Amino acid sequence: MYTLIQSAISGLLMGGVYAIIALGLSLIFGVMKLVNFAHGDFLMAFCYVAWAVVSFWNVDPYLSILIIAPISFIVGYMFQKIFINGILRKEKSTESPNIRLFTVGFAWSLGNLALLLFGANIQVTNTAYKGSTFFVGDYMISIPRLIAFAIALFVTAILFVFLYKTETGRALRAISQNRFTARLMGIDVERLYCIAFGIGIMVVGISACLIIPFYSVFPTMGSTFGLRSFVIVVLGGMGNLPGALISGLFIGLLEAFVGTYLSTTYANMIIFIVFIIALVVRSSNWFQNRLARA
Amino acid sequence: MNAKSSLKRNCQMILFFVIAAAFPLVFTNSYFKQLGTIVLLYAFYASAWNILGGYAGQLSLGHGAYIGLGAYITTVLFSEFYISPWLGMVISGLMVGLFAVAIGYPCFKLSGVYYSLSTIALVNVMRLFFIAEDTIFGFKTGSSLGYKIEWRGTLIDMQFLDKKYYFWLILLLLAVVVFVSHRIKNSKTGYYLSAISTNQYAASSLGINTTYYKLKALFISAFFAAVGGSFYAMFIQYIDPASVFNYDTSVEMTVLAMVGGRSTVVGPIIGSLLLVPLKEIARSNLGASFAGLPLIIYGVILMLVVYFLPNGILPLFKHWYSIILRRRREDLSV
Repeated sequence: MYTLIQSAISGLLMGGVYAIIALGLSLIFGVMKLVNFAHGDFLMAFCYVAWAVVSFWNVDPYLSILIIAPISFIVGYMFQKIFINGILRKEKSTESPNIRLFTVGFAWSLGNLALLLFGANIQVTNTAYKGSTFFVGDYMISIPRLIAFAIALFVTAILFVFLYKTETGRALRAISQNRFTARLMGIDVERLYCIAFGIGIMVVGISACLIIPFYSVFPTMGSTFGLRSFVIVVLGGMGNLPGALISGLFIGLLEAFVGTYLSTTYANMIIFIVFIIALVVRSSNWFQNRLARA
Repeated sequence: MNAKSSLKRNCQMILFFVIAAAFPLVFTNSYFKQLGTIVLLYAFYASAWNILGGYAGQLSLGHGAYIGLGAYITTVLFSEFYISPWLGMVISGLMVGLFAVAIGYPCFKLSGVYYSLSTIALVNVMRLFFIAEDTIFGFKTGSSLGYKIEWRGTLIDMQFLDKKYYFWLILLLLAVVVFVSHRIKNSKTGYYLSAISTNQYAASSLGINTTYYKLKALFISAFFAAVGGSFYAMFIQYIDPASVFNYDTSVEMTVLAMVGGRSTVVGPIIGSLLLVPLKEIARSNLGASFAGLPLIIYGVILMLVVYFLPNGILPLFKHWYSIILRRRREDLSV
């Protein structure tokens, strides 16, 4: 029983972080119907940036959010503006394989660039509260993970307020319902694509700052987190933000339980099996306009 | 006109294979023989991928699953049942083809990006499964330590001391896949696949059984991927889950076919001839001090091609060729 609750705690805390990374992916998909295969590698890149900021300038990792968040928003905005919108103009639909392949190529370059620059070794961020814990009854709770979880929930709340209470948020939801009608209503669709991608990557940048106090940085971490985000987004429904939050927590729990009771290799495998089942069970029509209905 | 140009193209292909066959006789250095074999193996992989990813337009990023399974089945047949890899290749191809169809049937209900995602999940599940399990269906597969293939060293065992025989073998296999690919492209199935690739719903409303034709393309594609995996196993004489169930290889097949020219017969070969030597030479010369650089080049080339030449390099070559022809004709008329 003790082990069960202990692994549930660590699973939930990790799940919260998975969830916000996936929220970025889900937002980008919901608005553009475009799957960003470079999502995990954006996270990896910002982990290196955050690690550099924290290690060389001795900035607190949570304060570094204030630096990383605007940078990551601009990076995402420009990525969409320069590259994806450029391809979109030539293509008829955002679901064309070419855009998918472009993000695959970008992910590859980014992952291997990290390997070239920093080598395959892991980089550890040293902070005062690294590895510090506190106890609730007998149960051990890691402080950096708890902070990450709390900030993740806070960011999620802000994102929802933004989407439901602001004019830009309304416009984003309108595009996700029907981009052609949205354009007829006078919405500048291309600019909002950039904003959506910017926000999606900004969330990734914030998550990078949250995970570096307890997670080491290495070039292939992109695929670990990227694939988890795909699983979460598909499980929660593409573009469905509350769904992504819940399934993020679910995946965190599942991983922790299987990892505790079987092995970590099985934990990775189970996630992919859940992924295939989720993909197949939910026919693709089901996903449409989830962001709007949610 | 059409018959004449196809005759000309056949002659070009035959010429290519004849010149390629002379390669290990000219470059007798074992490094070059190894390099040439790897280039052709990737051309083979990319051509196999192209049948599903190019003709049928189903962007699979998980063909590593079929390569790996093919490699393991042939190895087990060879080591445990003493079945010659020449036969084992075909058996494993058929088994993997059926496996792919069984997995593909539910996955083809997914369209576009969901299909790509399911293939990524497939290759990862397979790799993790082979890493986690030491014994699969009662056969010892050696988990992550891999499987060293016993040396028997006769022609029947597909084991040669001189690497040039492997080169000729993969060249022959490539010729087979090119022939099959050519036949498919110019058949009813090829036209149906092209229609499915352009617009699945329109194709289905015209009465094409889209699932049947996609599965057919998947079967052929997975069959050849498994044959390529079997060849790889016999060529390297050692397999392990990380190298055969490889996501990077799966993407690489896609890249090569895309760069050369998707949905064309020779595109995947051109892509491989251009890129694989570049990567392998960069890896052996710079790999130690600049790890990752070869794949950065790949990634950047993929991005450039997608951005500037969405149909690959082949149409560009054709365009230049037609300009040269026109100039020459103008010169003659003057």
